[in-house]
Amino acid sequence: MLEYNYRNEMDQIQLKEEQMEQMIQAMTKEKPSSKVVRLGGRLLVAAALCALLSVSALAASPALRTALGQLLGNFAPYSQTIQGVSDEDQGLRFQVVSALSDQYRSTVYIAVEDLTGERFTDEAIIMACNIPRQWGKVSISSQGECVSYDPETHAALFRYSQTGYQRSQEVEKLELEVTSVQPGYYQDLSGPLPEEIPGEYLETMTLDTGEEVLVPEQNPAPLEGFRDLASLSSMGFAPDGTFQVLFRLSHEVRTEREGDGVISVTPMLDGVMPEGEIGDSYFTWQGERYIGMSFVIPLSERDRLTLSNAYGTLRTQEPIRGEWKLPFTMENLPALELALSDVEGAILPDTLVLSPLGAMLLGDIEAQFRGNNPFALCMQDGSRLEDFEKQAATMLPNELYVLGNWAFPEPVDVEQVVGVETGRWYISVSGEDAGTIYPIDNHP
Amino acid sequence: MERAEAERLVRLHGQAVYRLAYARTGSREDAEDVTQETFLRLVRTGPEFQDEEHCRAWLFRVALNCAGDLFRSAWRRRKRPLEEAEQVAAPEEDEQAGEVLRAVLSLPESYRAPVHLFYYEGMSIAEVASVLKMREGTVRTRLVRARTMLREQLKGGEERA
Repeated sequence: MLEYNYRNEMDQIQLKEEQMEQMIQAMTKEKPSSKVVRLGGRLLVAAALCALLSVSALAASPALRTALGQLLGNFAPYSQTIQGVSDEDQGLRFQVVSALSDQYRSTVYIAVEDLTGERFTDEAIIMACNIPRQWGKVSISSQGECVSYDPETHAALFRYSQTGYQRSQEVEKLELEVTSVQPGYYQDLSGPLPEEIPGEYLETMTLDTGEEVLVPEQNPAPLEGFRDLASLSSMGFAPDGTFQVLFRLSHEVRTEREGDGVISVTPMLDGVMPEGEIGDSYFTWQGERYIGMSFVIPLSERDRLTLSNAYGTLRTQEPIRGEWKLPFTMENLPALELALSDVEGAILPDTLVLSPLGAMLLGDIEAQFRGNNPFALCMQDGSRLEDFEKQAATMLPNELYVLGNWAFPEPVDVEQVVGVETGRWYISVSGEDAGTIYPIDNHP
Repeated sequence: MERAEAERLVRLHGQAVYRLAYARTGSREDAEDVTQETFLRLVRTGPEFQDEEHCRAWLFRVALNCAGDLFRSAWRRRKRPLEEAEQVAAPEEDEQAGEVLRAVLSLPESYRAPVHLFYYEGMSIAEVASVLKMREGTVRTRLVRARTMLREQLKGGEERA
C-alpha cells in the first residue's frame, strides 16, 4: 500500500510542458566544456592540441606549441586557450596563451617573443610578474618560470602559478602585470670541486682593502656545471689559519649590481660545519675578476675536511624593465566543496575541496596545518591514489585558512572519488554520508 | 546540442529526474533548478552511455549531486549522528502533496533518495546502491529505518514485503 500510494502521489509531481521546453532550449544553447575528460584520452589530447594550434602567439613556433602540449600532458583537456590582448614594448611581445585553473589554484602560460632576436639566447630567463586577485592578501610567487625556449623564433614560454589562496569566482577578469624580464640568468649552477686539497700553504697577497687572499691561478680547474661562466682559480690553506676557495668569472658575467655573481661552497669537518666567520672577497687581478670565500680552518685540520659542490647564480645580461599589462578572462574549473561533519573531541578542517587538479582542506587556524599529513584518494573502483605534491597553504588571521594543499600529477575524475584518507581520518566524499568524517580504521 | 537530441533526452528522462530531485529537495522550485542543471551538465560533459538505463543512472547521480550542492552552498555544518542533524534540511510543505508523499518528504535527507529509487523507480537494492554510491548494506538499513519511520507517521499503512 505504501509503494502504491507513493507512486500515485508522486505521479502527480510533473514538469509542465513549458518547463520542459525551457530546458530543451537551454540545452541547445549550452556549449560542451573543453575542460572535462569524457572521451578516450587520445581523442581529447588531439582536440586540445588542435586548440593550441589556433593560438596566435604560438602559431609561428611549433617548438613552443609542442612544449605546451607536453607540459599540459593529460591536463590539456582541462586547460583553456586564452584569446587575449598582446602587449609589446622594448622589443618584447607578451601574450597569455593558456591557463589551467580551478577556483583554488591556477597556472598561466605566457609566450614572450624577443623581437630583436638578440637578447633571448636560451631558457635562462626569469620574469617578474603578478596577477592581482580579488583576495589580494596572499603571499605568492612573483616570478614566472621559463619552461621552453625556441631558438628559431627567439620566443620563450613561461609558466606562472598561484595556489593556496581562497576561493575565486568561476569566471575571473584578470590582468597579468610584468615588470621585468631578465635573460641570461643562470640559477642553481652546481659542480664538484677537486677532491685533492693541497697539503701545504698556498701563496697569498694583500688587497687594497687589507684582506689577505690566495694568489689566483695556483691550482686552476674547470667547474663542471657552470657553463664556462666560472672556473676554480685557487683552493687551499693560507698561513693566516684560513682555508680559501677562489673562483674566476668569465668576461660574460655581469657584476654591476649588488648581489651579482654569487658562488658558494660549504666545508665540513667530520661532517660538521666549522665555526668562525666566513670571509667574502671580490677583486680584479690582471684584468680578470675573482670571487673568493675563506673559512677559519687551519692546515692541521686538512684530513678532516670535505667540501660540498660549488653552487652559484650568475647573470650575463642586463634586465629588461617595463610595464606590460595583459588583460584576460580565466574560467576556473568548479571544485567540489564538501562541508565536513564535526567530530566530538576533535578540531578538524571544515571543508574539503576537490577538483581534477588538486585537493585542499580548509578551516579555522585551530584545526592546525595538515599539509604534511599523508593524503590519499579512495576511488570507486577500489584503487587508491596518493603521493601528491604538497603545495603552499595560507595562514591569515581572521580568514578561512588553507590547512592543506595537494596537487594531482594526473587529472582526477572527482565523481569517481568515494573517500579521502588523511592523517587519522577518513572523509566520505560521495553518497548520502558525503562530508562525514570517520576514524580511518573505522569507516563504512 | 541539437534540439532533436535535447528534446529526446528531456522527454525520456526529464520527469524521472524531476521527481527524484523533488523527493530529494521537497521543493518544486528547487527540483526544477536541479533538473535543468542536471541536463545542462549532460550537455557540458557529453558522456557516452552504453544504453538508456546507463544514461538515466548517470542523470540520477548528477541530480543528487546538484541537489546536494544546493544544501552545501551555505557551507553548512552537520553534527553526527546524521539522523538528528538532518532535521535541519526539512523541506517546505507542499500543500498539493498526498499524505504518503508528505511523509516521505519529512524523512531525513539521506533516506528520501533510497526510498524514491526503490519504491517509485522500482530499482533493486544493488541498483540503488550503485546510483547513490553506497554499500548495499547501507541502502538496506536506510530502507528499513525509512519504513519504520513512515509506518509511525502513517499509522499502519501497508509496507512492501
